[in-house]
Amino acid sequence: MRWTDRMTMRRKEALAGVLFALPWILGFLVFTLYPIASSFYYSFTRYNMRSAPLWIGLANYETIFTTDSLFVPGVLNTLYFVAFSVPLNLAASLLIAVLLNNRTFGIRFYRTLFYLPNVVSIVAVALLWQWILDPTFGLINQALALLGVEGPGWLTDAAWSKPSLILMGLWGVGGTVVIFLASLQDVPASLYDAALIDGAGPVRKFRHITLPMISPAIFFNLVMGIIGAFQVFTQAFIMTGGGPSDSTMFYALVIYRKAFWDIQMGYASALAWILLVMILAVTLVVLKLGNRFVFYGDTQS
Amino acid sequence: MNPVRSSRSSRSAPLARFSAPALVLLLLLALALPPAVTGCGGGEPTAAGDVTFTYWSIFPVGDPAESVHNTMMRTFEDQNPGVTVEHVGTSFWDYWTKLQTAQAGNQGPDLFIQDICNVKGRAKDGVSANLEAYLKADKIRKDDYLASDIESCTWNDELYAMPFSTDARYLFWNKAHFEAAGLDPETPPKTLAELESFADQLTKYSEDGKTLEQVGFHPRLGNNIFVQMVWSQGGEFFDQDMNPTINTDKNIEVIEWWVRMVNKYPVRAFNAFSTQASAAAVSPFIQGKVSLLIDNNELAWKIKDLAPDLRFGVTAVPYDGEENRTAWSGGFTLEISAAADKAKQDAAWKFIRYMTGPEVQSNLTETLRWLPCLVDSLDALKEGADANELAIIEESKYRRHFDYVEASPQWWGYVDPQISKLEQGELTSARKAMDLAQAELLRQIENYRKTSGQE
Repeated sequence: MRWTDRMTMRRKEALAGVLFALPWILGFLVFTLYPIASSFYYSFTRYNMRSAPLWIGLANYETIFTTDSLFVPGVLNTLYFVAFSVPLNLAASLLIAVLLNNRTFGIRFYRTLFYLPNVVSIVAVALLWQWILDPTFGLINQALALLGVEGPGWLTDAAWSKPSLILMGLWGVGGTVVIFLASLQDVPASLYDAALIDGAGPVRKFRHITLPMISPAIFFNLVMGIIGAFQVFTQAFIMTGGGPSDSTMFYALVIYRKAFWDIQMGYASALAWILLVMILAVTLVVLKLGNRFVFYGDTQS
Repeated sequence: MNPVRSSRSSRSAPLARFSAPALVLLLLLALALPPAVTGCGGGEPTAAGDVTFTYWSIFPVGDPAESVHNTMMRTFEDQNPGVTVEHVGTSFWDYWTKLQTAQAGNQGPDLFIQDICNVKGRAKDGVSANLEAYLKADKIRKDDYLASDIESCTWNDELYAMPFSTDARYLFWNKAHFEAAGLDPETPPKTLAELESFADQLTKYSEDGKTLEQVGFHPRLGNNIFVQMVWSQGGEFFDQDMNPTINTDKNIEVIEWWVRMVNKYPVRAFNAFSTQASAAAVSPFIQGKVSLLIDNNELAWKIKDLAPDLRFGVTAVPYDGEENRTAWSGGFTLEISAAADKAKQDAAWKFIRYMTGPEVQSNLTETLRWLPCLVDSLDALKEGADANELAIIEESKYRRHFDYVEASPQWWGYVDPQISKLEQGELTSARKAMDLAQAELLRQIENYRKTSGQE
């Protein structure tokens, strides 16, 4: 009698399922859960990657909250980025998705075109935008010059550096557009037909049919957008290095500096856990408030 | 047995064909397979007494210097039968993080190339092995190397790294530009005041005055840093006990000069100039667009390759008094992992001795275009050297590395933003800027102390 013959079908299926999922489970345990748990431990230690971590209790957290000169600018810069970039990206991607939802000639080409920037490495995109935003030879300022407007130093002026990076973020809305597009195509045509009979115009149809029907997708993109925006790093790291005058010193850049400039991995881990708590708190608030406005089928959540 | 149940069973549970021990064995085999396939952790069996040590460098496959470096390793192996170098080269830009991470996980190599500026930290934390016993056994004299290199490789009076290669900063001047401006082409500026005055005479704008056609001297062009200028004028950023002294009068005076030089050029005109210059991917000095430039010795080799007809001179960065003659320098060391076993350490030391000995050092400039650290090899370069090469050799003896500050290994990164604020007009007083930098660095040190676990 084979060992599997003694098992119930349910258990056999469960075992097969677990075994098939085992590579992922092992990967998750080793490459995700273990580093997360380690960083939590390191956040209570002095750890420079060269010698064993030394337990120092809450000293890292205490220093961050009391005397770290980059913590507050890092948080404020990041909140600014989140507050402006998330709504702007959502609005832009929804607008593009609505336009791409039309059945016109060459629409597949346009859909591909808008998604294309997402397959380009963010580093290459950042370098490209560095050229586009160049104060003298950049495309934007050249175009403004044609209109007789003297463009600013997009990345060199502290007042413009954050807005520049936010605008540049629109380049990567393709992923969000795809989600909106899928959602828009799920809206039953019968609803629009009924609205048409009732005399509703395009704006009313959009407001009272489209928006409620795609609200789960909007909500999903909002939550994911917030989480992503809190972790903004690459653009600032490559294009501005946190400058000018720390105006693009985002929180993730502060973590990087502590980890790889000052080799204070314990301190950087504490910063990372604070970021996690901030993201968690904001996400929970958004979930709590946002769910009221989301329409999941025939009942409101 | 229910036939339906039986058929479902065979479809949904294919694993039933295996016995439990076979399944476990299969799983273990799968987990063990990747290293076996890739060869990591394996290696050919060696004869008794043979040693293979791992060595990480910044010469990956495809690097222009790879073949030269490979030749060095193969020559060493030929000279040392039974010793094999297992080399892993990684791109310069990824190397440091890779090495740091590997060493943190006790997966680092037995021998590695490192940055000369922070040897002390690795020595203190037990990453790099103490080399004193090897030096004594092989009668290697520290005096054969430049004192500043040895100092950077020393912690608690003992050596933990061997200086391998170096560079230094110089003032390059374009002789044709000098002639055109009515200046003596053989007399470069010797002081900051002269540098400023020469720069003013050499700078050229277009007829409408909006475009910079030639930059006399801009401190942020080339390979320069404010630290170099301050040191050359006798300023210091730390006292004997390594307490920050950022806001001394001397430092402020030099930073004022620096900002004045930057602000001589209108922002838009200079941005346009540097964008155009950087688009060519060649130094603006080689392009003939800059008359005076601080850069390292590599610029001289590049001029030889790309603009052999360029008439230029090389001299010391203007300094105030012989005692302040300084050439800011970086460099690479070779270090042995303290975690490696003794046989591998011994073999790695043989390789270090070869790489830092006369055979490799004498050819370092020709092969890798780096300056050697062995003083005799450096002096040997004088044979057949032209005036510029002689200046490069001579000035490199005044080189100095960044001060190592455990609490803030990249301390200059906390000073530079304040200088940028001055340049951009966000701050108007150099004293205020340097006070802020001083306060910031003190805060970094204090925070480090608070989180060191020693309170």
